[in-house]
Amino acid sequence: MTTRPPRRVVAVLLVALLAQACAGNISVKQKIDQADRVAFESLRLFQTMESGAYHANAPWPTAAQHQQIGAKLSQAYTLVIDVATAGLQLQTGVPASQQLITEIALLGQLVGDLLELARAAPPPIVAQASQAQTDTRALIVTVTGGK
Amino acid sequence: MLNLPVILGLVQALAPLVVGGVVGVQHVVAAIQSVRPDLEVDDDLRALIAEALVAKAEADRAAAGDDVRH
Repeated sequence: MTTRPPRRVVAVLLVALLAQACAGNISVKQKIDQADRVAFESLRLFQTMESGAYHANAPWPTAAQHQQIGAKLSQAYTLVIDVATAGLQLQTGVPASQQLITEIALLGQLVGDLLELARAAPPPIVAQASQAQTDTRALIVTVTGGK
Repeated sequence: MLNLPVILGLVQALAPLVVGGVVGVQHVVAAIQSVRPDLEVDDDLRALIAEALVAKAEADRAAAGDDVRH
């Protein structure tokens, strides 16, 4: 014959588990919030530096490169938000949707392209392009939990 | 909970209207508060919203080839 624990003990344990789960979710959401802002601000700093060089008539970027960078940044801004928003809505244990996987792949490709386009830029701009890639990857890892 | 990505998503959706001069940043803030009445828009968030609007607008202008050198 088995002994059942008192109902009150079970209730307290359930509440504790629920509180822990909620605390965990809040923490993940806060991390996504934070990573989203860091990624956005990193891309924005790269954009400001690139645009400054363009308007200062520096050899880099050319008009064509500036146009390409603008197009990729515009997409990246949208995807940084879309990926983070999807991450906020992900349920524990539920796999990411095909759309989110596609968006993550595209975002990774875009920041890689931005770094390639910045290869001929002055070192501080290259460094910022690299930082933007790092910060965007950090957002992706936060959203996917490293999977 | 701030849910910054959701707010930035709203900002980006409204960005073309801001660029077109239809609405200003204060209208965007009001729109956000209408869907998130719990949200207190402090100076830091207001600055981020303005920055997000400018960033997207500048990127789109460059992408269209409309950003001529000074």
